[in-house]
Amino acid sequence: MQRTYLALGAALLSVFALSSMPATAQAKKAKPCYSKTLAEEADAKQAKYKISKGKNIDVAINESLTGKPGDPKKGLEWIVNRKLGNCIACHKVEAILKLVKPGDLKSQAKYGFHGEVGPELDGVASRYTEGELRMLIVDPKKVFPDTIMPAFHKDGPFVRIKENCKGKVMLSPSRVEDVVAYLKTLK
Amino acid sequence: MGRKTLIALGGAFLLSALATPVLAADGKTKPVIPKDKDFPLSEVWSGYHFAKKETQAAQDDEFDNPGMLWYAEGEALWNKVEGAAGKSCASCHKDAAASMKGVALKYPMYYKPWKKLISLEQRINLCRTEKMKAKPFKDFDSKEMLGMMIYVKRQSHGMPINVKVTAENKPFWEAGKKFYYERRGMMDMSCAHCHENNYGNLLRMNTLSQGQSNGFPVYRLKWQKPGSLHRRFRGCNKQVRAKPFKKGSDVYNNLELYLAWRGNGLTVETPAVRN
Ligand code: HEC
Ligand code: HEC
Repeated sequence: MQRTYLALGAALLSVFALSSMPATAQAKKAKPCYSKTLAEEADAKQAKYKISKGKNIDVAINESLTGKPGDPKKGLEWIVNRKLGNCIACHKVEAILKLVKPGDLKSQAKYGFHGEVGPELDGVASRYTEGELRMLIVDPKKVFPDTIMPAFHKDGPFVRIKENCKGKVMLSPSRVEDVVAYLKTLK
Repeated sequence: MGRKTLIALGGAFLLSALATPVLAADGKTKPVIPKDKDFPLSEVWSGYHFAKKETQAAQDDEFDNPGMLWYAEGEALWNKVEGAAGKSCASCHKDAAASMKGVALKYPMYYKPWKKLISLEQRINLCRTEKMKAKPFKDFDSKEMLGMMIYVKRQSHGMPINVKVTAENKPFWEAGKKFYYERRGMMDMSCAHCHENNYGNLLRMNTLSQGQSNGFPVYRLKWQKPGSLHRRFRGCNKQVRAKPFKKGSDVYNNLELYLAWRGNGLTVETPAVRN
């Protein structure tokens, strides 16, 4: 009998220890999906959104994912960041290339080296409405089914996704809005 | 004109005649054009074609090619007696220049006892454990395995790849093909998205190649050491935030067979040099 009590006590204790563990210590245990420094937002969950009919393409997401407009300055940061949007890995954007200061390697590393995989994004705001741009970032396969471009705000299903990326999205709702805000400046 | 000059001239003539096959399409300076209409690529190019001039030069010069240091490692191991049977590779296979010529072209091959494919690395380790009664090399990317792979594959240097799909290897080839075209990872991309639809295009800092396997193990300037093909597969899987498979897994052996087939007509360039 004494043994059982002891075991019960230990079990109770361990339950208590777990639940009383500070939230931060628990969060630290789970590895972020792909970036330690950007973990908080990068590991965000998918927001609910409604797909409506577009003007230039079939589909659009007309309402902001956060209910608020994004910040174009931050949007530029996410677009060039190799761990977040990394949009320029595939898309050339003249407006961003202009930010490279001649002879300044740091600005070149950050704003330079644009890819040739996707179309150039200058003028994209004249080709698409805000809602269509949001759709193209959230899930471009709704527009181009065979595209190489990743869905930046979709939590699955994916084949053999890296364990600590499961259920997460590449860009958080607020970051999607920031990127949309920047793209809107590309008239 | 003296006799010597004449001989030299004749020699030069002979040399250039011998050198003509090099000018034939090997995917380095001229693409291999597949005869089969259903082949997925209209032109087959080696990764060499997409590399920078300096990188190409480092590969071409046998004395400058940094991968050749591992060749020397492999050569030493070839002749080194190890294991309880008291044998070296050379005890059974004698002169590698003769016995290993063309061997690189046969792998991965169907291996009856396993009823599936075996990679060259695995074959080498089988020789070690079964024939030499020695320990297997630890990893595809151990110094020893990279050395042995480069030494053995180099014996087929310049020989054209010619993978045939047979009744025996077909199911594995099919599985490799399925893997090649399957989207995976958080970025939801297949091998084909980068290496079939976008070769020649810049992806930020890198010019995408056709992702061919004919130069492996390749010496990577970035790492200052060579890397195995399966390490490359893992890298390309991780890049799209997918969970990679183990080196030597069935999945990667099947992919390796399919990839070798996609490179038919390219020549063995081991050890190629890449960024
Ligand atoms: C791996 C490559 C890749 C990445 C990364 C990528 N895209 Fe794309 N994107 C494409 C391709 C390719 C297309 C063209 C659609 C098609 O035919 O596949 C495209 C199309 C677009 C379009 C429509 C352009 C037009 O003129 O029709 C927009 C807008 C866009 N991308 C924005 C972005 C943004 C913003 C990001 C980053 C948050 C991004 N893309 C990241 C490859 C990429
Ligand atoms: C996001 C784009 C991308 C995807 C998807 C991708 N790769 Fe790659 N791969 C690269 C880049 C970049 C390199 C380095 C430059 C080059 O050789 O293309 C590379 C290199 C390679 C190489 C080395 C080629 C050489 O000559 O050294 C092989 C082999 C390869 N990839 C195979 C694959 C296979 C097989 C898959 C699918 C499992 C795959 N890749 C998926 C981007 C990709």
